Amino acid sequence: MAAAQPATDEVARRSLSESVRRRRSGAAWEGVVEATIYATGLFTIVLLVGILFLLGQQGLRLFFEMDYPIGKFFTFGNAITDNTTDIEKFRFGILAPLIATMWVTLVTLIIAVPLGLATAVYISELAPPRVRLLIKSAAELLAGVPTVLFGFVGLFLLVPFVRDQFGWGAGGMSGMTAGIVVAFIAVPLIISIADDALQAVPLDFKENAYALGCNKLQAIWFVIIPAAISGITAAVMLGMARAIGETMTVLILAGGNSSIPEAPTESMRTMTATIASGFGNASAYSLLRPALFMTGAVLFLITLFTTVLADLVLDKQRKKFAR
Amino acid sequence: MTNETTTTTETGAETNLSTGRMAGGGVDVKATVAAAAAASPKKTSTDQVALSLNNVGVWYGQHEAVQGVSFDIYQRATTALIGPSGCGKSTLLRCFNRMNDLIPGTRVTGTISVEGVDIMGKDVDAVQLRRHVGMVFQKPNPFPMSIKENIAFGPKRLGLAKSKSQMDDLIEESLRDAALWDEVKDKLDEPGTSLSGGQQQRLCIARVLAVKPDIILMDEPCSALDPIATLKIEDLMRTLAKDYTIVVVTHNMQQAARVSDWTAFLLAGEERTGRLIEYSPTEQLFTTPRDKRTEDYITGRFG
Repeated sequence: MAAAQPATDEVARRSLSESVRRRRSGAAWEGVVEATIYATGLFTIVLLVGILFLLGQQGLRLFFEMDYPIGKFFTFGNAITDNTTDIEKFRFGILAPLIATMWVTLVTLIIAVPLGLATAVYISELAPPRVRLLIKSAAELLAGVPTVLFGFVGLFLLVPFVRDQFGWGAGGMSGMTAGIVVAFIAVPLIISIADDALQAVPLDFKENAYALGCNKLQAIWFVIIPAAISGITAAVMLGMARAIGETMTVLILAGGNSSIPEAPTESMRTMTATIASGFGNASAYSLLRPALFMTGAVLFLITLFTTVLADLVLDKQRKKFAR
Repeated sequence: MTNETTTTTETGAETNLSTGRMAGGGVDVKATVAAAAAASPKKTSTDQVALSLNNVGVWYGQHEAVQGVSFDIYQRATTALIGPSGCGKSTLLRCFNRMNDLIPGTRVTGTISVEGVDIMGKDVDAVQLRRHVGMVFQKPNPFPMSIKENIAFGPKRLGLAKSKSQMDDLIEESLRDAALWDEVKDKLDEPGTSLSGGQQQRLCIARVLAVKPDIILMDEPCSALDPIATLKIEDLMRTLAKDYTIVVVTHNMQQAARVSDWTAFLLAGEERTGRLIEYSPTEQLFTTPRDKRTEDYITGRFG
């Protein structure tokens, strides 16, 4: 360093060799913050593994401690939630709730995907700004309504109607009835996410399409939707996850029949509804309790599988449309 | 309205008003003009009018972005629109293919006619208009598809090619006209985005050429490109001007001087409303500007 420095108020200039070897004053604090953020990130993984562990540990007792046959669990066509310890009397298979869940999800997707995506395209690309704002706000408000209220609405509006008009399920309560109402729970979610994806398409894509003589529909179909496809796929996948995981609405509206439903218009009980309704009277030493945990484990694996599948699809799309 | 005019050609009036040296960059615009003029004699004759503007104004909601612009753009020539940022040159350009229709709250007043047709008329379909008035944008923007599909995009939507071989011919022709064929002929199925920036911009030009427009609008086509890619685009513009009417917006005065036959200078005042200050043959505008403000701009005193 300079030997004779004038005694002024100026900020001293430090030499590089002195400066770089010194520990910055904030270094310790930086370390703490970094570690905290790292820990919160790790927490999600711990939670994921923890859920799987709990479900597995509690559920697998059914086969390994209580000797309930694995084959029966996966093939028996009914899911009777009797609180029993007698293996002979316990008649519980996952097939019926699994198929019920698939029916409800199918009905939901058939209604919610076209409706949600069409609305998203409309508000994103076609609607005047005021209409767009109105629909978008309504969708976001709707997405925040507790699903049990959708159950009520379905019970008082849809159930009497389908009972009188079509005679579905148990007095109007069926997988179809539940699927229709769950669709209206999923639609706002799909609208909101798909709209965000469409809005994120760079304006110059759209302008280029129009400048080449495309009309609106051509620009939307051939340029805007392909460019937003990853977000649109995510919207559909989240809608699907919603349908698989929805509990309250299907508990109220699907009818509750525990046997295998052969058509969506039958009364049925999904995996989520089976767990929710059965858990209340499942005592600690009954066969029912681990059976419900096993059902939960299967449910968890299905959602995990769809999410991973969606990620793979998205990744592929992202690569294709990378700019 | 300010003193906008179309001019008569003054000859040999090399006035000694300024050195033509830009204050900041030290670039001699006059020298560029002279060099360009020597290389290819500029057309200054009044050919047939391709695009005619009469008292054109543009409003974005309550804001008047462009006011009272009138001038004629000639066929098979390149016309440059220059001026400082915010002078309304891009806004004006986007009127010519009614791109402003896409921005809610935009209103265009006055008349713009393309080959005698008032394109602001109620009976005019903007989608059809854009087939005849193509546009190249600032940022090269290939669609996320192959090179081939990028070129075929417009013709497919418009049903221009009757057969696959016709489409292939059209693709080759467009790429050749855009001086890109030799570089991409062996990788037509690779994504358009795999090309370099300059190649991407030529791809975008080829994509426009494929729909067979009469007029090509270019909105600062080289502002995202390096100097070498820029020169290639400029060469291309000069070649294309033999067959097409080109209108180019540019920030770069040397570029205007190098590529254009006519130049329009726009300027906005305090209220941010752009007006046409001067419209002249390029050589004249850069050597003997008639307006003091043009003089100030091209010599780099502002903007």
